[in-house]
Amino acid sequence: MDINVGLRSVVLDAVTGGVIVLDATGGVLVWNGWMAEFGGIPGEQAIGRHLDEIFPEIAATRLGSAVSMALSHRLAGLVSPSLHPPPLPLYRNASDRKQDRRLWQMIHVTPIHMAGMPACVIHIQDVTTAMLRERRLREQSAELEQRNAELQAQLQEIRTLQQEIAAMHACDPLTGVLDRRHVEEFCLAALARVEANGESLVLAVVDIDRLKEINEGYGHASGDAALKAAAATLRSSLPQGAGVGRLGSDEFLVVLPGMSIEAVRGWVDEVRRRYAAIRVDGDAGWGSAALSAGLSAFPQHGRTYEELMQSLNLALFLTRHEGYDRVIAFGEDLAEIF
Amino acid sequence: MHEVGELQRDALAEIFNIGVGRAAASLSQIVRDEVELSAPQVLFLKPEEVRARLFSSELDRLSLVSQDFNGPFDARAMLVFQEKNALVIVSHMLDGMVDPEHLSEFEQEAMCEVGNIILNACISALADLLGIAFEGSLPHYRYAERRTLDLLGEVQEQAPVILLVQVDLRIRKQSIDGHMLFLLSVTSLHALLDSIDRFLARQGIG
Repeated sequence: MDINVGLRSVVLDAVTGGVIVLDATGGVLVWNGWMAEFGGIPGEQAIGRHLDEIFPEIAATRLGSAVSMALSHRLAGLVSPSLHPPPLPLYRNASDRKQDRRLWQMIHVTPIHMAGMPACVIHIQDVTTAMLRERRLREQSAELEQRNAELQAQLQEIRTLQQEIAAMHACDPLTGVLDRRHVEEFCLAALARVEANGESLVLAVVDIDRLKEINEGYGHASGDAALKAAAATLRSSLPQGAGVGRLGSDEFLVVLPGMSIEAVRGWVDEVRRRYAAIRVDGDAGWGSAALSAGLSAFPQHGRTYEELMQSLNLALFLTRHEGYDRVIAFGEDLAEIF
Repeated sequence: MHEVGELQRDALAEIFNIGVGRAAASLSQIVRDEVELSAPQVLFLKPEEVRARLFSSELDRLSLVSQDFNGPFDARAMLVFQEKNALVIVSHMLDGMVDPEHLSEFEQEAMCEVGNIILNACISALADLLGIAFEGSLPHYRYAERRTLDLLGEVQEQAPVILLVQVDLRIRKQSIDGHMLFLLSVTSLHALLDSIDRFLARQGIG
């Protein structure tokens, strides 16, 4: 045997991967040991036959066209495992063969010259391990993507809840109107707005007369019911753009932008009338309560929140001094009294 | 390049459209959906003009598949897409999720095969229509950034002319544009133009 031929076949059989050499017509010239082992076809049965005859199924595949491109046009080609299912019936073991579980193939088809004649080499690599790893990575990555989407949805839900909680925190838990901090913020924002627009604003502090006596005489449930009823009455008739919040134990602050002191007085009187008509059922069957209010107006009674609150407190003090159940505005009313 | 006539350019455009048409048929088979390819423009340009055309911004990264062809004229052929476009193509081809940043090794192989199909189809069309024969190497995949686009520089000595073919790929209603480049030496350019002239003469034109 020619030493070169012998060497060639030893080398070809030592290669980890399939090597097939075809002549210009597609006839098999070389079929290495790997092909015999993984293809289950010994060299002596393959050599001399046409590749189409050995593997008829490749005719219409990308591998088939890569081989004809190499033979007819002498252009090299590659058939990658990511784009195609394994084109050749090659198996790692008998059980895979039984279940037609082909090994994954990376195939290079290269035109060559053999003994001065045009030919082409088909080189097949088993990339099953890498391919399975890639698939697993892809699956994991898809899973992560989905988990991520779920987490995003949960996060959105949490944000919505947080907003709802923040809105609840802005409210006084007993009466449902704004709490002190938020009604003050509302007032400061309204003051800034009316000052910028040259509009008027009236603040009203509405107080439940003798709440302490109600609490002590009829029980705290009655006091709470009186507070709730006052808040509900104020809220239900609140003019557009106005805000109401609870300042402390028995006091509500109402911020009324764009209204005159006369209009506010009219509104407060209406609220007082409706409140007085409400029957409040407490533990001891207590009946009704009255409201008093102090009013002060921007800009004539003060330009800042603090100034306005000072004049309000004075007005409110006077309602008590005068025997409750009345509305007193800072300014003229006070001038009359002092 | 002023020495290339309009007729010669038109002939090349026709041949490349036949080539990409063949490639589209092969790609459609892989995607199991219609892939359309066209080559609306063929230009002969200097390397620096090509560089300006390929990079619309400093940040662009290109995905390149290159193959060498030898025959009556030699050329390094490259299929060039913006990397983000290559990702779009591969995600259609692989029918699934692709890392939005970079192509994995397998995705690079997929892109390599897409390039191989398109370039081989064009070269075989050239060979068939011009009546010539080539030998073509296996495709290689690589990235390039603007500052490292030396692949044009590295062959600039031998390749003062680049034949640029605009490639429009349509897949599932998405349009993706890229370029095919053929780096040619002066000798190769003349050999190419001679082949075209003979082709035109056979058609009774020119």
